[in-house]
Amino acid sequence: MQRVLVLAILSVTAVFSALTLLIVAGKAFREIRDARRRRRRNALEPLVLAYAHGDARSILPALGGGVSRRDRPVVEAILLDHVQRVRGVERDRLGRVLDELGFVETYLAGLSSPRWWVRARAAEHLGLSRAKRATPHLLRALDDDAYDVRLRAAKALAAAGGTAAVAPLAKALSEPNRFATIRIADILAGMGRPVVRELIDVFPHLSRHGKLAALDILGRIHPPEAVAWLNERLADPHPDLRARAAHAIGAIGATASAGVLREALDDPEWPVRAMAAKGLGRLHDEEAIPLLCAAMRDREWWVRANSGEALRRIGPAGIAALEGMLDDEDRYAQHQACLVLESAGMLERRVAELPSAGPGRDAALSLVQRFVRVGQTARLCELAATHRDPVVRDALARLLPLTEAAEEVVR
Amino acid sequence: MTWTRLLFDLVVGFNAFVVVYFVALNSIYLALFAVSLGEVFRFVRRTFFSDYRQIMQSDMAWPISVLVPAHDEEKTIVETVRSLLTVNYGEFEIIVVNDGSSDFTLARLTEAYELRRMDRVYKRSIPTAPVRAVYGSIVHPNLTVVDKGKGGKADALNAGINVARYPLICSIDADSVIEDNALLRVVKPFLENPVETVAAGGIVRIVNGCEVRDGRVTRIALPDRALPIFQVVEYLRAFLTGRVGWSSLQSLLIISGAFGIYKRQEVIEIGGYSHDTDTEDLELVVRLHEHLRRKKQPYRVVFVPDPVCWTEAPESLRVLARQRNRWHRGLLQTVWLHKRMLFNPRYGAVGLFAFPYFAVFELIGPFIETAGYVVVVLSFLLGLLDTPFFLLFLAASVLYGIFLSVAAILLEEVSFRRYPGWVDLVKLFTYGVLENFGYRQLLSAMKVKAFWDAVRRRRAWGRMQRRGFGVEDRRRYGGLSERTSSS
Repeated sequence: MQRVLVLAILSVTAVFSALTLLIVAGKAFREIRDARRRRRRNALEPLVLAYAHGDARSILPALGGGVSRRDRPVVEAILLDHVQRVRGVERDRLGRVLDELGFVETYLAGLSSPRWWVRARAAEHLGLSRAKRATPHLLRALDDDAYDVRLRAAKALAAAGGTAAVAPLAKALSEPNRFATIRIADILAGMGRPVVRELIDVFPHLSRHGKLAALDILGRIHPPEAVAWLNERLADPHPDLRARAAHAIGAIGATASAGVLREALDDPEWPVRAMAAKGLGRLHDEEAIPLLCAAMRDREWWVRANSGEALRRIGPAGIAALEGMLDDEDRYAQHQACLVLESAGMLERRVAELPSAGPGRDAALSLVQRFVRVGQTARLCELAATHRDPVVRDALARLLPLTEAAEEVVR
Repeated sequence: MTWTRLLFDLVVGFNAFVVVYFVALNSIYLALFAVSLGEVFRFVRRTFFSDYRQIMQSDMAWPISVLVPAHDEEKTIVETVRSLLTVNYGEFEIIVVNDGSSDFTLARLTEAYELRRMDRVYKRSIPTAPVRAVYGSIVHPNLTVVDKGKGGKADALNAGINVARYPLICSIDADSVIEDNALLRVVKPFLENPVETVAAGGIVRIVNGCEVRDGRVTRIALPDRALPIFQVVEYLRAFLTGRVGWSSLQSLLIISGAFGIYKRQEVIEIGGYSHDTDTEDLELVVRLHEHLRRKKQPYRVVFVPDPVCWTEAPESLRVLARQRNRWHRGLLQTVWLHKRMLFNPRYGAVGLFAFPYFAVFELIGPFIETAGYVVVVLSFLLGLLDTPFFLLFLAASVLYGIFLSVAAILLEEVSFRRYPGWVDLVKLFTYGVLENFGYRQLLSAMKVKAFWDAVRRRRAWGRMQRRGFGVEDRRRYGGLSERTSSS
């Protein structure tokens, strides 16, 4: 038994010592290497930048005819850093240097590496280099087993391949991973209106969440030419798709589509109603006011909230409708109207008019009385205690039920 | 049989049991370390390809309700909220729940963020102590403060869940500071696997010794005092080798209350945080496991080692003792509440491995360790002590403890390198060795006392005053929310 223990102690000691050595040696190596690279970077960076801003045909003369093996990572880091910061001719020249110094060739070879992170990094760097000859390789990488590689390839294609990348990218929206979808959607949205036609064409073949992403992208790009097609999506059998379509129509600001959004307020599914309400607010559609008022009585909180917010966005007519909702029979609608009027600052604006004479005071009185009747007096009580105008405080104290105002003052 | 013979047999039997226990426990630690090593490497590689900026800007990222329960936090709450308001994330709301504070927590918030009362209507999905008022900020539309009667941290979180609007809720302690990208990182598992992921937790590090400005940790350094440094080593071991390992085995039972994110609907479905334990965070995750396993619903509870939440650690033994007492009481209560899961194949790896591990090693371990010291003395008095064997066993035990600490430091060094200086590294090494001579034994004694307190049904939060996050107040004490067992 003792022998076993001795063996265990020796083993643990050996592993412990090895670990310690590994940590110390690793840290020392890293620090020495980083210090050298910093030093070399300080020396090489001006040369690379001078080339980028100049008109020399090759960078090699500036670098003394070539780059030593130890300097290659330094030069590569400089190029990859700056290629992301500059635009136009400088960008192209730095991209060409990556090719001239053989980095692009290395990346292309990296795409065949058995290790996924090497492939992903290679794809990423090929995108930064914008080497046209990388396009077929990157297209193949879209079928890689590792989704990180597929993503990097997609991003690289968008950067290097131009519109050639749109179709594979649009198809890639069906990636099962939402994280991946977000990134691809971002790439496509960044490409702007050239992707609209492709997105519409590929839409029937996408997975459900791919379709959702496609609708979101259209909402971000705001293409007027897609509005008619989006209107048709409001009849899609899937409620999430109808909801996203409504959202996209609102985001585009297509006033001609207000009618279909008004109809969508009657959709049997609440996400569609909620998005339709939001969209109508964005369109400032005054015709929708009665329907939005009705939607404030919806069973679902999000529909009520979005309808209230939409009325606020519509402007004075919407605000008047919100004030009218305080007399509604539905308590949910009353409460939502109170909340929107409070958060929009309407209550405070009206209350400030209490000391004045004329219609402003009457409107203020009416509003406060209706808030009291609805029973939503928390903010009013606070104003009664803290408003900077003592006349307002007095007026509110008289209007509010005695106990509530008194409690607030005590609090 | 004489009593000496009985005692002799007991001592010999116990010694044999200790050897088996020691081998079993350390084998588990070794296995966890091996799993964690691979997992951390994989994580670091994937971090390179994260694209957090895209997530931040995307409408498709899930919006989050950040819940901050606060009780008598007047010294830290403004900074905490400021730090949260500036995190990088697209759509999120912050809900501070003032849980019956007797100090000026609410007043500080009102003053700093221009709060005003709102007539906000919400569904009371989980019963809580009465809510007195809901406040909104004029300057920050995404800040809400709920003022309620005192009901404890679990109750405050439940009130926050009721008011929350978004599908993900993130609980953060009022005395903690999270890094800019922490939300982006911790939400990643939900985006990668939106259907199955129900909860995710991030790493918690100790802020003592660091410099905090405007709610941000601006300079990372180890504390000056020994006690918090011991805890830094302990946290590294607990998070980087323990939780990473359990998470990759789909058996993570703890998500720190200091920084965890959950699907709101799942939490509501199981009735929210429980008032029945002293560690509501541990109990919630165990209950989630139990509920989802019973439903036979595929799910994932994930630990993400990268998002960093900085929290205060106790700087005095008295406060540390209170903290550990509460944690261990909570562990005991949770194991007792969910004892049906123990060794129950119905609960899969959680029931067969993770939960028994917590019961057998984390809960009972301190007793066995403490009893071991007593038995050594007893063996010596009875003339049963095989001195060479004892010394060898002690050496093996201490060396293994050191090895585990150094292994955690190695993981930190190869991955996140938050403590960059050589002095920090030497300090971590030194304290990784020293913690085996006194600190570890002390923690065991504290846990034994916690068991005794739990049996006597003594429950106390062990609160203490806070100093705040100002630069001049860098010396810290007492975050009460983080649990750091060896797992």
